[in-house]
Amino acid sequence: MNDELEDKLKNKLSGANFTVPESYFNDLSERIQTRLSLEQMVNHSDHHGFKVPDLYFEQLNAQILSRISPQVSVAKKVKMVRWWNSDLLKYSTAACFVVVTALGLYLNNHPSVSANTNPDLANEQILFDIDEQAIIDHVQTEDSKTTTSATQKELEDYILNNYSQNDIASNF
Amino acid sequence: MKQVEDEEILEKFSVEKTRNEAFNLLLQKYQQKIYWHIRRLVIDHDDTDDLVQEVFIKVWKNLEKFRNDSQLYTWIYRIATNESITFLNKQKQKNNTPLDEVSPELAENLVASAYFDGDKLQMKLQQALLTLPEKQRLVFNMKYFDDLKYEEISEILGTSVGALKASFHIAAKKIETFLLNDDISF
Repeated sequence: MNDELEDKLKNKLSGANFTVPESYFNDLSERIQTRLSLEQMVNHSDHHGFKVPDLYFEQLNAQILSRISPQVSVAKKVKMVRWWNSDLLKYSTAACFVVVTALGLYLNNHPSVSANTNPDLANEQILFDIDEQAIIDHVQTEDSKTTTSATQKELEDYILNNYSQNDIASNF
Repeated sequence: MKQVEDEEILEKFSVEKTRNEAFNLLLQKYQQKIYWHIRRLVIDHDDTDDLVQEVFIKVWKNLEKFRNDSQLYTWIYRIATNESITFLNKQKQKNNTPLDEVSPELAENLVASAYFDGDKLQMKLQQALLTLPEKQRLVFNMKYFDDLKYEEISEILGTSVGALKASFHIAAKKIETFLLNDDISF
């Protein structure tokens, strides 16, 4: 029984149950040689044909650091300023003050026409707008009306009431 | 020159007064490793230069938030890898190339580059790498050239170790086949 088991194990370990691709061993040595050459090439060549410009790595360090440095200095310079303490607010407030004061002074010294309520000027403007001939006709008509409207009796009463006898005697 | 430990860099970075000194040490320690990692992915020197600078600026901005739940260098590698993949994807979108394939522009850059002077075999190896899908190329580069362990690559890419091993195995086989089918003599 033990011998039988031993034979089975021997058969298994000898590789009797394993198979390989067809003609595997025919080109195995050639493939091993290729792989060895490849290994040697990788081990003996620094960068396998690739190269860099002269002094590239010496400058690369500085180049990267110079791209990083501005970020460092900017980060250090950032200062928190409250907006009500900012120069911009101070200057714009001062500018607004100057503009408002100047405007006030100007309006005070140069009152506008629309603000002026003088009735004489308003009447003058109305007369300016009316045709001149119409005004002359109107005045003449009013004069003639006044002349004819007072009676002789009314005139005598007016004179007697307003003038003394001496005035009347000396003028007439 | 003696390499400074990551712990020392982090400790110095946490103090305002020694922050710049710490970052300088970090740059000295990692700039070349990160440069070559990106360069192997994007091929062109000028693109690599831009990306390296972006990566370290991100490192500077975020190092304060870095928690020790991962290693510093795997964290930096992750940033570098993400930046490179984002860059490559933009390039592919521009060229209408599927995202899992490598942009043909990379092979053109390799041939035209003034900063590649490898021999025929090295050129062939890079061309073989550029035939791989993006993920396999990434895994192969990190394992083969950056000499990172599977566990470290797993932490950087967020992929299981088993999947990474499979990717690397497939990539190595493809490269082997590409080189064997060519008339290069080793």
